Amino acid sequence: MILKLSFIIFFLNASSLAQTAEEIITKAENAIKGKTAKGFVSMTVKTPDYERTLKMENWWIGNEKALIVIKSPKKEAGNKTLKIGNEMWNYLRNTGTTIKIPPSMMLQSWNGSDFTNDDLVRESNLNEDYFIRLIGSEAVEGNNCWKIELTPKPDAPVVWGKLEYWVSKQEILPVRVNYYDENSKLVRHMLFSENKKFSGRIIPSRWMMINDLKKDHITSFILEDMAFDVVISDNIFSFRELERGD
Amino acid sequence: MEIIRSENLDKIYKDNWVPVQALKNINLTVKKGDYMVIAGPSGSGKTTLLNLLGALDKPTSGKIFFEGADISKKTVKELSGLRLNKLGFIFQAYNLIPVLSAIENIEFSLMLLGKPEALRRKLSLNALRDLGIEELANKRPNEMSGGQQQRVAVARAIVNDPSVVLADEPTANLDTATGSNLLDLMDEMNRSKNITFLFSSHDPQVIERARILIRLRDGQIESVQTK
Amino acid sequence: MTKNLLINLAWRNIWRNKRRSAVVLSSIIVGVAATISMDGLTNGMTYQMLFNQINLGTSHIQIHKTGYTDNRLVKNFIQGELQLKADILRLPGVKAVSERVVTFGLVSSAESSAGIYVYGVDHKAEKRVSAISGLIKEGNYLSGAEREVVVGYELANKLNAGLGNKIILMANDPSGKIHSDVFRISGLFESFSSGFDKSYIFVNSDDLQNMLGLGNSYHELAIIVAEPSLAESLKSEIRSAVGSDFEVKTYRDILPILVMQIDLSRESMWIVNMIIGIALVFGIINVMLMTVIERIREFGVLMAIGFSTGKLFSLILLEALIIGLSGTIIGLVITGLIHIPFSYTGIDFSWFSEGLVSLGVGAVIYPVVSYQTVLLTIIMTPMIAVAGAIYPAIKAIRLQPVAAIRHY
Repeated sequence: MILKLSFIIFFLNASSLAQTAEEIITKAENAIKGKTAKGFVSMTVKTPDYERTLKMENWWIGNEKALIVIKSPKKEAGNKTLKIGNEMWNYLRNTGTTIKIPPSMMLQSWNGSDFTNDDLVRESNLNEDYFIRLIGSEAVEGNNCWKIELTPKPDAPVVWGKLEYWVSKQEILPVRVNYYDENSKLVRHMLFSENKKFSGRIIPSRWMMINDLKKDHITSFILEDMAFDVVISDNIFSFRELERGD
Repeated sequence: MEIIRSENLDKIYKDNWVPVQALKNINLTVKKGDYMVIAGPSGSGKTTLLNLLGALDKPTSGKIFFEGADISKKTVKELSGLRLNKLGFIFQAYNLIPVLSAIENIEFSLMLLGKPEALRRKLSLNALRDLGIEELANKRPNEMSGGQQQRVAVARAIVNDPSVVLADEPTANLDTATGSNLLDLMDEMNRSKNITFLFSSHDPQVIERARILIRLRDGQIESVQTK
Repeated sequence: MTKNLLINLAWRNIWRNKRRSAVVLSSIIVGVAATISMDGLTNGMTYQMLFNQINLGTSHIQIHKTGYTDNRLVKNFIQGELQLKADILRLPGVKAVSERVVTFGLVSSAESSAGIYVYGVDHKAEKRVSAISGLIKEGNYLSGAEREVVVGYELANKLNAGLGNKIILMANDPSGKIHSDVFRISGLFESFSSGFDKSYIFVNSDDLQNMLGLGNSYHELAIIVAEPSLAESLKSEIRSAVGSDFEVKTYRDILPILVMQIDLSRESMWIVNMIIGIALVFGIINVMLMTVIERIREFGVLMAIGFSTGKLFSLILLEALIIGLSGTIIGLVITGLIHIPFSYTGIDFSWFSEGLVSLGVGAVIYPVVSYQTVLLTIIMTPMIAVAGAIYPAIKAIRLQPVAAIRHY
């Protein structure tokens, strides 16, 4: 009976909102990215050997352009990363030099995190690269979620064999993403939690990337202050801005 | 006929930088058919004299004429040729080349002279027969007794029909009977074939057979006896 | 005791002290065997290195746009419209030509990534130029189907990817923009060089040209000629045929370090051979001196009865020469008996060292004996034996017959 009821609820819910899996993903992604965004984020990299925290200020225009400026610790403060399209430059304050990241360095860790340069650069347009399929409902961390499976299109240049994406039904926000290789081995997963309100929008404020191949390698982002859909001058994403020492 | 003649022969050795007068003013003549013995106690210089007369060594001063030619000025190579062609040698012991059989030892100098094989064989066999040791022809020196070895040495010395055969204490390593036999043979060669023999020895058996006996003392001729 | 007096005498003297002669003989045999085997191994190793490099893709002659070797940029391409390949194939002595799109890039799987050289090739032409197709251990070589990639085992292991898995290739196009594309592993190869297996991958040229927007342009023409020795002369012919816009290089120009290494190992062989030779000389001096000292009295008698010093000198050298010659012949025969089967089966050094594989040699070495070395050994070894006898022979002829006879 309960089963039947829940099925009806699910059915109603799905049909009344008339949402396809693609729409759910798009909504969830847009919620945490926005058309434009700027704000302060702290990143904590935890490995068995060390733990360190970077604080940074960043500006995003969708996934097209980004500027990230490191604020602390002191040693790295002033270092910047500029991304335009699928290209990327690093500005090192100490030496005053700008380095274009060559393809060979794209998969190196960005600032010691579990993210690669490529993760930052890639225009991960999920709708374009994946077949998206709703495969069920599941509770994750107390949230009632849609479980969505994303399988890469044959020609899509993505390394993953499969993604599993959980989106909370209530807020339509991402809760968890599992990344599998082609042999269905879990390589890493991402957890979104601690929803907070930033400029009138509720989004998860803690994003954790957990490496499932290397034990205890965790990178977490904490959104300290974010503003979405604000006007950002295009000038910010220029070399002049990049090389302007603060 | 004169074969060897020496004039005022002196030989001085340097023994540990100290000069030793081994021979002093030796004048003697060896004639064809002689059976001459140079005798004297050890250290008297008899072997030194024999070596000089046998072109094995060079005098310090004085002259040696071999068949009329002065050999004291000749080169090592010329002396070697002279020994090969004109002289026969018999030493105390170890006369023979160990890797050669008796007949090969006898043939050896004929080979060095380049004589044809047939002639070599004939002459060597004759020499073996003359010494009564034909049965030893194919034996190696280490298969022979001392006396047999000396007989082969005599055969080798005479096979080439040398002008003179020099024998340096040929009986020194033999027992009396064997020595006597050997000397008898050489005596016989001297008489029947007119081969010239020049001995150095202090063996009484040799001395008593001498037909010319030259006694040396302290490098000088003490006496010359002709029997 | 008939034909040649000296030879006969020398021969018998050698047999006189069998044990001593055997010692000298065996040291010469060992010397000969060592010299030739070392040469065989070194040659085998260096030829294999060179052969492997040529086969793995260096080929005999390569043509690039001028400046490419100094700066391997994607934009230094050769325009396909020029039809260089057809022109070169017409030259006599050219056996095969392959057009290759070459770039540096990055491959990644879900788990790992690696910097690599990507070769975009026409599988039909490339099969005639390089041996990669023959090194496939699992799966198949390129067949011309879309998005195929052939990678080495080492790389596959690093990426934790197997046959049929996808890898993402990322590379710059001529304008510097980064492109990435997905490929599926169709074959896994294993060459003799772990370095190569780790850092080269092969795709169809069409795919790479599409990915990098190169049209029908490419970077490298790899040429195989009928005989490696023809490479140098063909190089100048090709150079005048293609003009100064292109660099023409032979494998000797491309692999200067390897060529130098080969030359160097040849030279170091000389040093080894010299040491063996010197050891032999001293061994022979020693033994011949002993035989001379033992035979002083005998020499005295020989000289007394008219054996000239010249003959004595020759006799002693002859004894050494006979031992030297017999040792050389026996040594050659023994080495031959050992070497010939090994030159077919090869000698497996894998138990001995993993290092050979990373050197690019392969664990199995097929010895190659150069006829120069054999000839040299045949000439030199007896000469060395004779040289070792010179000093003892001089000692012998300096003897005074009188003193020698009286020597006890």
